[in-house]
Amino acid sequence: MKGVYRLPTVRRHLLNRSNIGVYVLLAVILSLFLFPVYWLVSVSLQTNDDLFQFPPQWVPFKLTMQSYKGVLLSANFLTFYKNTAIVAAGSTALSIAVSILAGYGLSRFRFRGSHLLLVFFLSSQMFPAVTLLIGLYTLYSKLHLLNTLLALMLAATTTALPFSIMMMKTFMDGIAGELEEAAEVDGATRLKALIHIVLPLTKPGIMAVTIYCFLVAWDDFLFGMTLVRDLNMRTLSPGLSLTFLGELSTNWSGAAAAAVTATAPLLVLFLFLQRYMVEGLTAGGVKE
Amino acid sequence: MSIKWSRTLKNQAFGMLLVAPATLLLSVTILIPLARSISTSFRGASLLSAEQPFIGLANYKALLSGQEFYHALSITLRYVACTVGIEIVLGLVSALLLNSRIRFRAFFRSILLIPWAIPTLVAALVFLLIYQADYGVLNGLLIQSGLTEKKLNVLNDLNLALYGIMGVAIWRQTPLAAVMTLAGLQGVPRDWYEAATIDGASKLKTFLYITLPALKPVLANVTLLMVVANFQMFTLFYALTGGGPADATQSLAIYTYETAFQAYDLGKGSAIGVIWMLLLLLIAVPLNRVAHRSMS
Repeated sequence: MKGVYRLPTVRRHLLNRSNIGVYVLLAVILSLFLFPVYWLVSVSLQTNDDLFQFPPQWVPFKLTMQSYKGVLLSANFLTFYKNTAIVAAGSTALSIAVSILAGYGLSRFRFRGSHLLLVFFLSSQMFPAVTLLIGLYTLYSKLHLLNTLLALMLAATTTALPFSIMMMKTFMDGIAGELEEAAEVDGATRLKALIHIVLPLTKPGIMAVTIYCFLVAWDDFLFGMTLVRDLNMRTLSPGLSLTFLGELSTNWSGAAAAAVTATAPLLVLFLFLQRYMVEGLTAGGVKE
Repeated sequence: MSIKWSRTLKNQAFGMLLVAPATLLLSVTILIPLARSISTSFRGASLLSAEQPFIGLANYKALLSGQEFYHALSITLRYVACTVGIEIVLGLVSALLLNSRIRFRAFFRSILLIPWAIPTLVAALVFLLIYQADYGVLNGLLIQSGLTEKKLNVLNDLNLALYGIMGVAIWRQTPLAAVMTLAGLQGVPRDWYEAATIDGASKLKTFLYITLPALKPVLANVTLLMVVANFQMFTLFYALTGGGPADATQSLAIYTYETAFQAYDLGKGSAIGVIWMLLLLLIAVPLNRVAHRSMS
């Protein structure tokens, strides 16, 4: 984080009375937000026999990896996983390429209709997905895209692209144009200037867009539920909903283990790269 | 800080070339489907038949003269208002706490953000386990602490189900609101506070007259993000209650989806979607204006 400003008033207040109160409040808030995560992992590590009792065990006494074994041996689950990875990777790559170009275009050039385009990109976030879905469904059915992973890739890109473009534009606005002007004098073409001068400086922006797009694609449920029909085309969220959610009454541990496994790669990615994400969210949203 | 190159035709053309892929992609995936949805809303269209005769405003008339649409609208508005309101307040409180003089701020921020990285469907699954009536941990807490005598069946209770869904949304989305608000707090110029301290302003006054106004664009932006996300929330409603019990959580998203894809009435489904979209734009456009007014 670049901002180092703090509130002097709050600081004095804390020095005066000691900031135990702040830590206690923070601890309460953090434990409220983290408890569900703890609970999910805890359920996934127990047998169903140990789970179906009341009052529940706050701290599990017998741990087993049995449910994870079941999940990783389930052919369906592995298919969902593979499909989600393909859709997320494809849509992220597409979003990055397109938003780098558009972000650069909107940041550096004024042309007829550029303001209108900006408004279009911004407002396209606001069209409800379910409304789009009806048109998308009939359109894809005409184009024979229904029941393909490409359809899901395009749909996820739609969701992520507007915000990605705004993030990229903001990052590029923050890079001084003199370097490119100098390059231009040297005779480098504009595309080369973009690739060799602007892109290396935009790395944090690219990272932010990457994580954001990946999260959005991985999170999709509605499109995956409607645009594909076959079980072997399902992605994780609809797949989990159709298989494990149905079994939820009898197999809690299995459902929880599947949920943890489905989330793990996201959490790893997120914990390592979240610095960029925070920067990007602030950049894409707040400033013009 | 964009540079002003000479506005030659070549520059204009290059700029247009750069935005062309994005424009094309968004046209194919948003503009065309949207136009099709709007056109479908004036037709008697079904997933089961190929013919789509033009029927004018009949779909809209049927919707607006019945009760279901208003019911779904009121559920959605209640859900959005409560959820976003709590998220903004809780996010602001968390951000103020994180912005005070504490150690390990970056670490706290990291772990607070974890719920946001969890897919919405997984969040729903976690709370299905937590809310579960017979062996769920919520009932464990309520009964062991003596707050209630009887086990609650949150998601099957006419009066509680909507709050149950709100809880999941608040859990997953507040961390994002908090982190964005924190970034906004850290961007408030420090001399503003110094000036206030010199003038002898109280802490409450400093908060009300300096912090809050300075945060206005950020808060508007967070509100916008959360309103848009929740107005169209589908996953949580579908996975937690499916609109039930007895339509108590029948939101616009669920109502549209059911009408179009389960009752196969694409025309009526589109009409709901179109009215719903207009409402969302009506709320979002003014918020957007506040959010993107320059901060300096």
